[in-house]
Amino acid sequence: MENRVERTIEGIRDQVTRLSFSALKAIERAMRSLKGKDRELAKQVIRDDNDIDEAYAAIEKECFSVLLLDSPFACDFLFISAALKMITDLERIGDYAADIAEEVTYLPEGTPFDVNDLFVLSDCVIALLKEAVDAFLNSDVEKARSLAKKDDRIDELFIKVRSDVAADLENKSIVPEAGIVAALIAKYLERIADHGVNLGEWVDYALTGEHALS
Amino acid sequence: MANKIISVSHLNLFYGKQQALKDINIDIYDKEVLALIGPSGCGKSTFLRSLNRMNDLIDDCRIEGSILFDGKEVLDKKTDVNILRKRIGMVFQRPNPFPNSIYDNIAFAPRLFGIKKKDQLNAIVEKSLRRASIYEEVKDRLKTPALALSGGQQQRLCIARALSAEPEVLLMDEPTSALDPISTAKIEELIAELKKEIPIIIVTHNMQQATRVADKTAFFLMGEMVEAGSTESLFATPKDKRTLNYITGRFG
Repeated sequence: MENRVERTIEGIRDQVTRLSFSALKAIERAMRSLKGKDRELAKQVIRDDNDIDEAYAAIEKECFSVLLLDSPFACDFLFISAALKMITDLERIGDYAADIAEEVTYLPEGTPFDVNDLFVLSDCVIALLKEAVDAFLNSDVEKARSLAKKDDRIDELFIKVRSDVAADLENKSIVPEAGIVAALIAKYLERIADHGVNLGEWVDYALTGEHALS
Repeated sequence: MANKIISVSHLNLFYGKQQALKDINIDIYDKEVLALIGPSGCGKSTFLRSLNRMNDLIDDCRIEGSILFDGKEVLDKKTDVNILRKRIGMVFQRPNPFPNSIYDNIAFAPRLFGIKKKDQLNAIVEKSLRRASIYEEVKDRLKTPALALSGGQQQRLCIARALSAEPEVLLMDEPTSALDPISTAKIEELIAELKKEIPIIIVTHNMQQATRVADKTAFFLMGEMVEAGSTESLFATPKDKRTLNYITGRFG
């Protein structure tokens, strides 16, 4: 028979899962809006960030309530602490998705936007995030710990995209506005991956009580 | 590294045919607080009372194994239990002051051990009351009945009484279970002060109290010491499923 804390934690786990998928969906849609230069979709991503913020606030409130009223120990305490940290990362990921979408709205209409490797970078970032969510859902410590290594590849890709943009601007193959958009989106994606690694670290903490700082 | 003060090995205790403690092994170090937790009847108070032979008072109690204190065997029949209990003091669940004055409560043990000089007794009374953080509250009424004090004050008086014998170890059996939160906080602050001088072993049903006051915690269940270790690791990442179930309230 589950006690009250266990039931509450199961509820929080469900909410964190939903928030994870919302954040993931936000990035996928933001990148789709970039690919299709779809301003309406971009605006929708920006509007939907409110839902992510609301879900974050609701989970945070519930976690604080458990800490205050139930003084949880052991795996319960680790899970609640990890959940509080994870939702902060997820909320930031949602913000970055909205930031990417906002940049899409700044793209001058009819200008070419063909930045090598930007979509390769976004694919890698989304894959990393999916693995982080998967590690959470399956309580997979090994997978959670493997994310930092994958982030190294993303950091390298970011540097490459950045220098590609600089070169494209230099040889005037893209307009300055598009260059700024590309560089900012690349940076947002790189930061999203960092938050993905954080998610893995908190999954690790929830399961083992150990927390490696990245 | 802190000095080992008490070393318990292969301790078994029986009440008649019923085994109340099963192969307990633990070392207790200087200047640290050890909390004993576990459900009622798990053996934690029995273990506590074994350390200064309080179980001798119970008929049909048989004890095996070893408790070394300061290198000497506590369980040895030749051990003088009066001296032992002076060196390993004890505070009980309910404050139990003697029905006489505050002063006489504290002076009782020193008088018992032969101190008669008034100024010497006065000094011990004042020092003990100060160590128990109650001197300022009672210094102007030392000759008034101890039973007139509040419950929290009575418990600190009992701690002062235990300290008057200059114990080298202090045992506390649920010392705050009958007290309000403010009195409890005062006792817990007192424990934090006293542990700078002597080790303290405290039985508590309040797990938050264990996390607040104890450096180490031992979990007892059905006479067995299931797990012992640093308080933080025991409450964050217990190694034994039974400990996990207890501290997270997962017992049915």
